[in-house]
Amino acid sequence: MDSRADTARWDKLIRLLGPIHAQAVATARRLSRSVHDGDDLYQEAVLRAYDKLHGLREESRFRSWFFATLLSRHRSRARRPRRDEVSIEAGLDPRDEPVGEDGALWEEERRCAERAARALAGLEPVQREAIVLHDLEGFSVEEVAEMQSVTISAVKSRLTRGREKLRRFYLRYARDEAPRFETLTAGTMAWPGKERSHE
Amino acid sequence: MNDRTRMDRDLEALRKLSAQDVADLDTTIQTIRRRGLDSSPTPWYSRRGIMALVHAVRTRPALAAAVLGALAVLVAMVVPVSYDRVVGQDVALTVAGKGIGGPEIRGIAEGLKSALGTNGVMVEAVPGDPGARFVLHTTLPRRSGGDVERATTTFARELASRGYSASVQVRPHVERVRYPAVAYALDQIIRIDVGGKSAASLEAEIRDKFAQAGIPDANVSVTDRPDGGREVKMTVERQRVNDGTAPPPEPVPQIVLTKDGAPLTGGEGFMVKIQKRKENEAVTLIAEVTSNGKSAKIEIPNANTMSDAAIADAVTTQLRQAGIDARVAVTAGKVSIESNR
Repeated sequence: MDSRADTARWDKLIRLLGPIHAQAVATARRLSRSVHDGDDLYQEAVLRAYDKLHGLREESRFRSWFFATLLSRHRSRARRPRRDEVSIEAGLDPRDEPVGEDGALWEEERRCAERAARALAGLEPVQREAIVLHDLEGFSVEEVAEMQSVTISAVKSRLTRGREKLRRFYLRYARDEAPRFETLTAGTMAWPGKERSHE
Repeated sequence: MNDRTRMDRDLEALRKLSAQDVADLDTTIQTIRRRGLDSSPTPWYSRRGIMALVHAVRTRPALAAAVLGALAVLVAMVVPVSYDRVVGQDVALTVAGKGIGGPEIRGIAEGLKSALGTNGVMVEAVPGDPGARFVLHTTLPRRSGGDVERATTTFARELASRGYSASVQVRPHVERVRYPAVAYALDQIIRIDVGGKSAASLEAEIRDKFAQAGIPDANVSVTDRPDGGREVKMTVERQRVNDGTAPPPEPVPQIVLTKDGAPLTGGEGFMVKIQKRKENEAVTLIAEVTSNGKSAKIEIPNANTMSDAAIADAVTTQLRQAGIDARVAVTAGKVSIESNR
């Protein structure tokens, strides 16, 4: 059972996490290869934040502090050898494909998200972080530099290189319009969907 | 659709889908705490710490090597090994003289204690003709035999000037000790600083260090060359009958000559290890030679059936094939290999 001090620490963390919870979960998912991986990453980051909470000097800086923790866990996970590598077609069971107009729209959106996740997975972890935080989350370059603990010019360089790699990914994709049958080493892309439509 | 549009659309889809179905904070925290507070008897934070350590080691080969290295050092510093170590010097001073008796020998013993700085001297009386001899025994904890021998010899000369006959014998006092492996390793490396020492004093010091390491019979020779260089030769001979019961020979320590604390470099290092292995009356000569970074291992089977000249020729040929220029001499089967430079 948690001691009183532990409970107080959890209470403090919950209070600080409240305003950024949804955004942080989404960021973790965007940095990861699947929703499941993203949620797992977020949980790891929360646990680490709980451990290190005594090191937080100013509560007003909690957001960048927590995101820095999230990035640290992300890089740590990126170094781990993955055991769950499967081909993309293995993750797409035709029986799961939706029926009807709404389902078709959802399916298309899911494919787009998968493709984006696959493109991001091909980047260096630090480039992926810069792109996700700046281009998707809307953080400023200065904020990203603080979270990544690097200079502003380093972030700009990561953004430039990351975008160039993404551009090359989509150029390759345009040349080969059969990405469904491409075998990936990046792993299964599993993004949430809506209920099936049976019209 | 161009690539930029496709990329923007994909990222937008990712942004949208990744923000869907996010569990509320309370549910997430409960999941995390359940995850952390597993039913394991190990506190969850310790388990996570251990897992993090294991993960850190697994994912960083350099760190893994460093951790293994640190563990090896720790084991070497903690785990003791048994080995023979020179822990002091046994001194035997034999004194004889006309009319020497109890009062005189008591005075000599006091003088020896004072000269060597030792606490106790044991006196042994050896009856004989024409008179009794007394052997004064003491053990000094000093590992340097040279100093002890010099001090005892000086005292013996003083006795001689007083009309006594005195002789000195100093032997290393060897004991089986149990020290950490790192201490054993350090004992096997003898460092000798050559700075400002004459050939004779250096030779005495090397011989003394060998004796401290349990090798009192090392043949050491240090000579100054006419061209200004200095030649150091060290020979240790061992004979072992491998009948399955004899213990392995004690390892010969490595001598490292240093100057101003740094090992000497640029010299003509030449090391020879010669073995003769006798099996079923057939003798195999094995010579390992290292010369300026080149090394060769030579095996000459049935060496006992060959003439000295044939052995010398075979060894010289194989050394040349290994790129080592050496002078080989064989006399009555005894092989000597020296650098030809």
